[in-house]
Amino acid sequence: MTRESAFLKDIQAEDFALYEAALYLNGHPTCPDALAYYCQQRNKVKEMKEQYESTCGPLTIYGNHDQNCWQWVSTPWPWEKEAN
Amino acid sequence: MNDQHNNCGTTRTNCGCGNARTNCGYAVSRTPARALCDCGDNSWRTYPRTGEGCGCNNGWRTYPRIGGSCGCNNSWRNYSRTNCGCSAQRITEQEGCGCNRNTLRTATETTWKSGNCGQSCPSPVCQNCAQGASADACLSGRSLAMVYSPHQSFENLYNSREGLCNGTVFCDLNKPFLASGR
Repeated sequence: MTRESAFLKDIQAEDFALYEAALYLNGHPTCPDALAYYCQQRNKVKEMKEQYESTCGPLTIYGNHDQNCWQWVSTPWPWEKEAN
Repeated sequence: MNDQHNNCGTTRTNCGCGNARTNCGYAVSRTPARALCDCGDNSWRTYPRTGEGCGCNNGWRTYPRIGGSCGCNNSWRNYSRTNCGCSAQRITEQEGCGCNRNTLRTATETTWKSGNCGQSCPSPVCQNCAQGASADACLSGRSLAMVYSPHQSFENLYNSREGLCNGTVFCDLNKPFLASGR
């Protein structure tokens, strides 16, 4: 597993935990522990995504920060070997 | 002539009611225990007397008497009562009636009380359930044919990596399928 794919795996794990917190909060909207966990995870995921996109390219179409080049097509597509 | 008695004959009025009488040896009625000259009639004779009343008959007989009243029959019997419980409209507050649902009056109630209906249990304010009491204790007094689902607490979380592998970050929700019989 490359360093990029390992980093991506970490982002997926943290993002999954964020979604779990959101689902829990749908049923317990005032739970302080869940809200604190959600905020923590949201900040963590945001930071990790920014760090990944600054070094490895965009994760979504919203992650293209190069004003001179559309990076989205420069990075491997999901079905390409280099993406996995 | 078969009667062994002190002051009673078979037809004397001061020797008890109907067939059963004290101090009389009238054949058929000798077995019912009687205190005074009253209850001793057939279906009541196994029920203890309290005060001046006789015991209660038939459907009421398994329920203790409270005060001068007989016990309550059938579906009322689970509810505390002073006057034989409440009618079918038990969900409303009534004196002496318990709730016929799992309802508490307010968010601070932790037990089901007579005449005190409010929010349902289990909920975070339901002390028994929140403290992790046994399923039997938690379900004690609940209505039949209702499905109860315990509230999830925000606790026992996996780390993010373990959560992704298990399909949930909540340990308590990690229920792998093991097939029947296992």
